[in-house]
Amino acid sequence: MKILKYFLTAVLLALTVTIQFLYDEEKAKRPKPSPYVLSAEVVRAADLGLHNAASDMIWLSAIQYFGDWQTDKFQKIDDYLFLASDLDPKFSYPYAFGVLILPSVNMADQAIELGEIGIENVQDDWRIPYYMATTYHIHKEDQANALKYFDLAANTEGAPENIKVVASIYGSNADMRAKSKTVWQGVFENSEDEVVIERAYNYVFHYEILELLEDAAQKYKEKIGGYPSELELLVSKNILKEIPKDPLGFEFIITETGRATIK
Amino acid sequence: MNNITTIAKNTFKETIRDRILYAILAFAILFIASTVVFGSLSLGEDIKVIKDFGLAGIYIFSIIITIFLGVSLIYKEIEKNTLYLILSKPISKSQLIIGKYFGLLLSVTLTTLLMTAVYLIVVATKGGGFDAGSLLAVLLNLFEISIFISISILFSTLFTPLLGTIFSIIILYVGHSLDTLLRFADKSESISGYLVYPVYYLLPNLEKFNIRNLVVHGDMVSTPEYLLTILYAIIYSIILLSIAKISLEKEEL
Repeated sequence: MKILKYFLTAVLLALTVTIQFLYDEEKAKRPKPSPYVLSAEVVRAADLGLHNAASDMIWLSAIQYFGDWQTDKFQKIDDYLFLASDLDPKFSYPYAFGVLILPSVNMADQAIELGEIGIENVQDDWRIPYYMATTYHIHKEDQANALKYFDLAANTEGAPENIKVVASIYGSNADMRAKSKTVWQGVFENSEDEVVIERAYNYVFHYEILELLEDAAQKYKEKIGGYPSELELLVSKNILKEIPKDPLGFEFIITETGRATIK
Repeated sequence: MNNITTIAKNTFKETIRDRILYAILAFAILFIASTVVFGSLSLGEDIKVIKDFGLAGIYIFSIIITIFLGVSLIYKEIEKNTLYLILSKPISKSQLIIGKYFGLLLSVTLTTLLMTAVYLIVVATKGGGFDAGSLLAVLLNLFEISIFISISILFSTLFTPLLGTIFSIIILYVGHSLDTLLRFADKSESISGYLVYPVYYLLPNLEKFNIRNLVVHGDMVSTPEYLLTILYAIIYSIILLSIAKISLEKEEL
């Protein structure tokens, strides 16, 4: 009788585990609703003065949200980051992360707004002005502001030596692509965050593919007499083994003047 | 003085033997140790997250311990009729209340220090070094607790433990929202705005004891501000304990 009791308990436990597993499987099929991000006033009223801990919770939620595929195309990521920095204005990483990440989801203006608040509240983190400069340079094509923030980053206490070098050569380099590559090379070499490193690596690789395609197009012209109308011609004429896959997800074309660009 | 010490010792022994205390303490230590997990999810902001959650944990759990143990402190004596026994001896009601206050304060201080030790070990292990600033935050935490012990003792002379717990939590929230209330009052031009001022000055303003958000960033309040906060806690506790004594005198024993 006792054995039967143990057996039944074990069976019931196994059933619960199975049901939970099946439930999770089913739940995963359901489209994820866009999260509701509370206002800073509401959180402040409820957190017993533990604003920093509340800010950390929001920050962790932002990472989880951004780290997973979302049906709302990350439309709430800026709300998360603004809330985290509102609750703890001296928490520097949400600013730096936001300035770097928001432009990639079409929120360059929000990135700049967040970065400006960050620079006002946190004076000792070079990453915020540095990423502001990259945002201005890449997404706004505003070299004057990019230069201003490169300079600010280079003059922030604790900024690495090569950041200062990047800032100093930025204004003297004529080629925009070369500048962008230099910028991301700097991010790649100086960041300790895996997400940021991966992003910077992808950008550098992206620019290298463009350079490779232009070189190949030039060789094609020398061999055939004109620039290729399709990228596949570079492979069929044995100039490239294959067209490299862009880590940022773009497709490329060769223009009539032989420049490689995004399709 | 001897009577106060004896009651404080007995209260300390009584509260330290309470199983609820150990359950909450175990949970608190588990929480503080688990802040490492939260830290590891934060993309390189481990130390900050561990400090924020750790100090928040110490605060929340010390308040929970205080409320759980405090609200039944006098009520239990009245319910079990043991209060007659104590007061039949040459012990005054004031001595009883002061003794209970210091006994519980000692218990909560010990448990808070234990949580702080775990916190310091966790921070040091994760490479944050010795977090001296947190000790100043924990000290103010203890002074806030001292007000809360007085509130709990007062409520335990007036209400059942359940009601005492509910009212204590309300005071806790209101006490941390007084600055926000005052901001609203300053903006408001109606008469209700003026009603906020007496509430602001009379209820315990607990937000001044919260320097956790500052010390994590290496900031600190000024020395006069720190000392005024401590003085506020001492005077407020004396007022609450005096009211508790009056309340106990009105109790039909």
